[in-house]
Amino acid sequence: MRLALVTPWYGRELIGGAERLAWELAHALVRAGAEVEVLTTCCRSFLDDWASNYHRNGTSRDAAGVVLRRFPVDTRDRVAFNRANTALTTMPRIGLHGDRNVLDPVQTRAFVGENINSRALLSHLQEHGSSYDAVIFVPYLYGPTLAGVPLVADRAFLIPCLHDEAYAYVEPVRAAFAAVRGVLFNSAGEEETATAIYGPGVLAKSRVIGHAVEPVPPPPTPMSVGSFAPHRSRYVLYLGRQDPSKNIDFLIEAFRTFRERRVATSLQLVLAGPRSSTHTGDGILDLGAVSEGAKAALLTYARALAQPSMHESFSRAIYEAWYARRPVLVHGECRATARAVEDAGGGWIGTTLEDWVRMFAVVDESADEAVDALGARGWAAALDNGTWDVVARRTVEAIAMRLAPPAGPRIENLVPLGDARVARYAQSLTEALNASGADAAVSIAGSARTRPNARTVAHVVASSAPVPADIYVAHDGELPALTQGRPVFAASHAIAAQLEEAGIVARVLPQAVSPAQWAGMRPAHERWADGKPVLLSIAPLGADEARRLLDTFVAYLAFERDARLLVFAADCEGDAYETLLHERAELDLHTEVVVVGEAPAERYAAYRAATVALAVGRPLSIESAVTPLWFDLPIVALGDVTVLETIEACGIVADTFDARRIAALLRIVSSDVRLRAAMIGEGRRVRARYAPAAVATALLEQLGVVQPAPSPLAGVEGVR
Amino acid sequence: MIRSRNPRIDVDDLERRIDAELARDPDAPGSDERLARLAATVHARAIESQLNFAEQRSTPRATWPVDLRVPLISSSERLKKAVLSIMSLAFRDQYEANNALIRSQREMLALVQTLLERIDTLEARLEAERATTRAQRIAQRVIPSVVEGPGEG
Repeated sequence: MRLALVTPWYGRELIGGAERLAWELAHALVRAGAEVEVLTTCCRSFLDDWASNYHRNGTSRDAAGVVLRRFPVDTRDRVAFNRANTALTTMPRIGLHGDRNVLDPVQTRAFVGENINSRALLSHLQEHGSSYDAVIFVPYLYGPTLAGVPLVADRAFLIPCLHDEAYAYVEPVRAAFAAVRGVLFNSAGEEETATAIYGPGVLAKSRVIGHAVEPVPPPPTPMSVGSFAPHRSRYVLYLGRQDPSKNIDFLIEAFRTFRERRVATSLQLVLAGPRSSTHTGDGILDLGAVSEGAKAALLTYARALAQPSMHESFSRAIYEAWYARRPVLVHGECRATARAVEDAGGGWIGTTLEDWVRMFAVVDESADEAVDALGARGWAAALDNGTWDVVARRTVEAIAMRLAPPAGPRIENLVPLGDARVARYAQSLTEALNASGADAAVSIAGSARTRPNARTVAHVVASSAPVPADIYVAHDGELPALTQGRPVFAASHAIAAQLEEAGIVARVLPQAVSPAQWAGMRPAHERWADGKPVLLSIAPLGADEARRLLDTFVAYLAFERDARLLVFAADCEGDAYETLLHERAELDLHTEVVVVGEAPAERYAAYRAATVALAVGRPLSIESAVTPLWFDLPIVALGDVTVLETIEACGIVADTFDARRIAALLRIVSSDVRLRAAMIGEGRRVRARYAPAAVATALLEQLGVVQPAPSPLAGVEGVR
Repeated sequence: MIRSRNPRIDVDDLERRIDAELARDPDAPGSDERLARLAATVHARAIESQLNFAEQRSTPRATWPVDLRVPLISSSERLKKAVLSIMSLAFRDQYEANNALIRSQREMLALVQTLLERIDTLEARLEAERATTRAQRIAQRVIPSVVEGPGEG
């Protein structure tokens, strides 16, 4: 595989996160057998003048086999760029959400046009871009990426190193994310950040490749750092640049508050990293920049590591602490670090100052065994994260899958005539199989149109005529006779349970629900994204259910006076639409209750604006239940068969309808950050079961086309 | 009333929080007038719907329930009919009591609705009177456009 890696600055000596990633990944990709050319500028580093050429332009090859092509940078208007950059860096966080554009066209042009740029590099991409199998851009926010992606979009892969900052909301950045063939993330949290900003369409072309961190070996004997003896101290360690952008002031304030409340504590906060001013005092020890040996000693003997930054796509310090089996404290508003800790269970997550004060108290008071146990969990996660060679392998696999998935078998989905529900299921399965490389199609059972040499999947209901097939998918609890002895899947857990009662063991093959339909979509408008609480009705409605929905909304208005209710017109069955409009008029809720049209961009705007999804109507389809989960929406629903399979595992189910109680529940769900995080977090696990790749893989495994994937931790001692 | 298989949700705690939210009585005086009226409408509709349900179930059964299987009786139409007649007779007083209660609830609901309308009328009248009074006060405070000067003596 011939790969180009485009990055604005490149060199072994560079210490920035993206620069280190580019260097390490380029070499790991070569070790993985790829031909790698790094396309970069002659500018020395991020800290130098972006219009100044330090390195000589031209091509060279290093000992490892990485080909390096350097191109001269262009002259630029620094003032215009700085004006746009200042507008972005001083933008209040509250202005950053979803689909909102943050810069006017003039400043946007300045941000892209006066960024670090190289016309020579772009010319090379234009002329020779097609000679590479894939072009990898690292990171997202500089000229070579923003201007280079459109030139090779069909083979462009982005390693964005993204975090939730104003740059991510600039229109050309959105365009780059929409245009690339694939997005490769450093962490699951980074992927979540991208989903929140660009919508769930990103998930259809993304893959988490990880980010390797080398373990820091502990010192052979206890060592002191200046006059500080780590092995004789109780301290929480901060490791890294002591910079306001890393939220260091918040950390210090939280620790000072903790010390004021616990005067007798022996717990210290040790700061280690380059800084512009010292922070020593009140139990805080500022060591400044430290050597690798000192860093190892500090990590080894720390009680925990604090990472207060809110702007990380991946935190090396966290993994270094976990390799040293120390737990970590992270900020809840940084998805990348919070998600890593949440998944690993290797520490604590806090958002407010009070949370952090409490976390320090827990670190101070907990038994050593309890702290060590959390550190051990982190250690397991660090092992799972793997080395650069593992990251390179994942990168190559992800690129190969996106460019040309391995050709799979010819598969025919046979459906009974006239059953729309089964046909929809078979169609989504066909699309999932084709996305995984198979050549799948749907045809009517018994028709003469079945293609030769095709493996057959028969979708059957109790009344289906017997049809021979390789695999059967049962769509109700009874099976026609011919299926005996053949592998059987059930279309849902309820059907699997019914089949089990009849003595038939069937694996569940759920309907695939893909986020790909939302890829590259922009909302029709932003009228509903004005910060008011928005309830989104997701269930089909009859006339009675429409009244029930409005009753719930009116009760909710008593808690949230500015709330809005969005109802999909397509969900209104029979005379529900007329009832809804009539009741809306009678209750004088014209501005609060909005009927959403059927245009995809309108539906997208509704999902993106919603605060909570609500289902108090008729039974849900799998698609209606799972789609809100792709938009990270918490769901409150009345129980039905689909809800039990999907929403109950992550959301909240009401057994009986009581408008006021459901309204009170909606109020709690819409305002409680922790509860929302718990619902959204589990929702991500639930939706993964319905991802096309997961559904297709289950079927292809049964057909013997692919082998079940081994656990990444298989064989690692002490990890199950 | 609510449930979840999400291991990170404490359903009992959530039920308590719902009770606490409702105990804060969002319909209490002082809240938004329009919302209070909307809430009253929803309450009335909820009562109406419960009364309709009760009414449907308050008449003696004429048919045997399909999901009720009693040995011997279920297989004989004559026995079923006899049992239903006996039940009807035995619970006759109860049916009458139920019907009387439903009727009284309906009367109560009608009364409440009349009172709500009456409150609306009184409020409207009060508002009109206030407006009249205000207009009169303003009229009294009007400064004459022509101010007469002191007469020549």
